[in-house]
Parts: sequence; C-alpha cells; structure tokens
Amino acid sequence: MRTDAANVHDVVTQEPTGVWAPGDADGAVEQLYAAHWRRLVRLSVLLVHDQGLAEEIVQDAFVAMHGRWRRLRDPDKALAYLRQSVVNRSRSALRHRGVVERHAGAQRSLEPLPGAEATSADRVRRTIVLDALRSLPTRQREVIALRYYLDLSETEIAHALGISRGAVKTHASRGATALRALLAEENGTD
Amino acid sequence: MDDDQDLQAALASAVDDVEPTDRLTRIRQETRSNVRRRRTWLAAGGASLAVASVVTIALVAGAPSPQRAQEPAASPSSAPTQKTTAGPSPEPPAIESTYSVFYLGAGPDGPDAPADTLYRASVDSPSLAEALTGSPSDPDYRTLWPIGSLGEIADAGDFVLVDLTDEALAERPAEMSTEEARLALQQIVYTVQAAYDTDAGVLFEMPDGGDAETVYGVAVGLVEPSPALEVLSLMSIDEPAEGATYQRDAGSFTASGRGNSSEASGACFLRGDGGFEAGPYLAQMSGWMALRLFPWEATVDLRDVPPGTYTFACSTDDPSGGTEGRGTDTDTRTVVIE
Repeated sequence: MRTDAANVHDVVTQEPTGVWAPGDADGAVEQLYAAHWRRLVRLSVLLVHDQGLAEEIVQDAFVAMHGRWRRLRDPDKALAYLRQSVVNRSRSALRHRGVVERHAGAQRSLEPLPGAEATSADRVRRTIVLDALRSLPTRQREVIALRYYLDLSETEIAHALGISRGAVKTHASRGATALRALLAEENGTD
Repeated sequence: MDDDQDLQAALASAVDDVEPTDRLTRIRQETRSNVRRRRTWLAAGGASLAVASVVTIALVAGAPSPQRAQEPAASPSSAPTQKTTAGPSPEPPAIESTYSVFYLGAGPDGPDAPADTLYRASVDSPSLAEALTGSPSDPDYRTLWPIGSLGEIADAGDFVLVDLTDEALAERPAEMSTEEARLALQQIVYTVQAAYDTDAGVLFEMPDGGDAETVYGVAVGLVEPSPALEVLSLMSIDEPAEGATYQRDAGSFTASGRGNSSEASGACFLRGDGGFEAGPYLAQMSGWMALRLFPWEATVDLRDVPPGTYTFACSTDDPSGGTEGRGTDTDTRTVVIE
C-alpha cells in the first residue's frame, strides 16, 4: 500500500532533483511543491487530524519558505525548513483551535476525511490510528510522525523539533510503546 | 525492524488516501504579495507597536508566572520531577515543551562585577519565541524582549534566523543601557543555541525581510556567543523551579544547576523568616578549571526544616571574601516545605 508510485515519487529523503540559481525563490517553491506537497500535507494531517487545516498549514509553510529563500538557497535546507515549519505551525494550529482540550478526554467525533473510495474498514482503521496518535503528548506525536511517516533519522528529527537527540530517543520510545498499546487495545476490542 | 514496520504501515495507512487539493496557484499569489503585505502591515501597525514595546519592556520584569506545562520534560538536560503546586488554571494549558532560557538577573556582588548576568532557567512554553518573551516565573529575572517582539525562529543550519516583528527593535530604548542591549542579544544567542543544540550564530531579520543592521542599537552581523564566564552567572539553579513544593517527610530533595566556582564547590542555604537558616548544602560541581559552566548537584536535608516558605540560595565560593574582583554569584528560588 505504501509503495504506490506517488509515494515513491515524493519520498522526502530523495535526492533533490532541481538545481536553482540563488535568488530563484519561485523555482524553488515550484519544485519543492511538486516533490513534497502531498507528503507534507499528509504529515500535517497526522498531527492536526484535519485535511483543510493541514493544507492551510503547509501552504503557509511554502509561502514562508519563499520569503526565506535568499537565506536558504539550498534545496536540502529548504526542505528541512519546510518540515520544521509544518511541525511548528501544526502545533500552533492545534493550540489555537483548542484541540488540546479534546486530548484531555472530551470526546468529539471525527470529521471524516475526504476519500470517497475508501471502504468502511479502511476508514475505521484510519480513524483508530489517528485517534491513537491524537491521544499522545504533542512531542511524542511529532517524533512518531517524523520517524515513522517521513522516515527521518534521529538527527533530522532533533533538528526539525529543536530538541536534543536524547529527547528524540525518549519521545520515540515512549510514543511507540504508547501507540502500540493503543492500537492493540483498539484491535482487540473492536 | 519488524517492529518499526508495523508503525510505518499504520501511519501510512492512516493518510495514504488523503489527496490534497492543488494549492500551487494560491501559493504563487501569496508569495507575489509577500513583500507588499508586510509593508502594509507595518504601515498600519508599526507605529503603535513601537510604543507598545517600550511600555512592555518596563512591565515584563517580575510579572506573574506563566502557566506551567502539563507534560513532563523528557529532555536529558532538564528533567524536572517536582512541579509547582499552582492552583487550577482558568483555562487548560497548552501542551508545551521545556526550553532552557537565559534571562537577565543581578550580577555578582564584588566591586568589579557586571550589573547583570544571564541565568539559565527551565521554561515550559509552546514555542521558543514565547519562552524568550514571556514573563519569567522567577521575579529575580527579567527578559529584554517584549511579548510579540520575536517572530519565527528557525535553524537554517549555518545560522539560526530570528525574525524581529517591529522595526523599532533596531534602536535602543531610552531606558535600556548599552550593556543591557548587549545582554539582550546574548539572551537570544545562548537560548537558541541551547534549543537547537548548535554552535551556529544568530542572524536577525527585520520585518521587511532585510538583515538587521542594528538590534537595540548594537551593530549586528552574525551574532556569536560572548564568552560564558563573561556574560553568564557562575551560579544557576535548574532545580528547584520557582515556587516548588517539597514534602518534609521525604527527608531531603536534590537541587541541581550549573556553575563555575573555586575548587568546584558552591554552597546552598535555605533561609526563612526570623533569620532561620539551614545549610550549607554542598553544591559539588563536576569541574571548574575551564571557561565554561559545570553541572552540580546538592542534597538538601529537610529534617530540621519546619514547614514554611523559604528562599533557597546557592552561591559560588569567593576566596577573596568579597573584597576584590567579581565577588560571589548567587541564584535563588522560592520553595515551600510542607
């Protein structure tokens, strides 16, 4: 399921395909958009649980990256900046929308994500995973998403989140344990 | 590896059928209007912001404590186990991270001492910018960055980029000394280097996207840290946090921090009403013969300490007895013993 053509195309760790003249912020945006837009939106969905919001967040990150291009100049740095920006903006968005309150225990049914062809079994599974992620503390959720969805290394995650590698290890270990327990529980009871 | 694959598959399956709408056109529109939008915003809000920042500088010192985090920090550099016993907050606190933030506080007490030094404090905050601009929970500290003055902070690899939100920050406010202005920049450099675990310098960017030429009147390029022993307090307490509560029945608590003191030893005391003093508790540092700070720990015995509110004070050892040089560096916390 994960090896469809689109995913292979937009694996974030791939070699950058474009070489841009310094100052060509527009070209940088176009190429990074082509390669990473879908995957970054999906990353944000894992964090904020809302596709419309995720698209806003990633759009804003691209706009911010454009403004930074004079500094970044390098596709790898630009991509690292985008990741960092998406995670930070997702965190802020959650805070502003009061989603955190729902983490604290208040139940709220999920807005179904678009995806008309999805079978109901798929939808249930997706909801289970997103719910489980949502119940993790913010840092754990971010580390888990960057590690298991974007396949980033500990160093890359530390850089993206502005925390130490030791903290990444701790969050990854606790997050993975908690997530597995939650998924096992759901699979066992449903 | 198999274990990893189960979570990889779970996360992928959760979002694999999310097909984002195409927003490239909107992004192009936004980036075209980037510069124009910023200028408009400045024209509309810049002037009032400039006034607001001056007022806020006077207010940020010693304001009430911000909300504390709910999520215990897992960072190895800060592992607070003792949380303050604040009452219920009016609204649920945001999920926050713990940052090591450098604040200004009173310098040491010797005749050749600087007026202010930087103290390192653990701060739970939703973002680094908010941590640097929020009111310190310890009334002995202050920040020179008004709320809202810092925009995005981003690690760009070779440098860390800090957005200033107001052109007025280029100039030094009348009530700020040149020494404070230099420390304000060092506040940022030390804090972002700790947060990103980097030794990269800091570049400041003005709201119009250009490089800052001056910040608080100090000419800036790539701002590097000044030597630790020149700008940092040589005694800084990590634990306890301001207002922490300890149970006397526990017998003792462990304090920790960073410092640099003669013979690698500092001393801590608990001081209360009526001249009560308990201690000294030895703050044993892991070293001192280097130009940096070393971690220390002290075990604070509570058996002879009656319940009450105390000032927990730790100081460096000053072989001159305060007659010359830098004198004694001291950091304090208010603690409650129950």
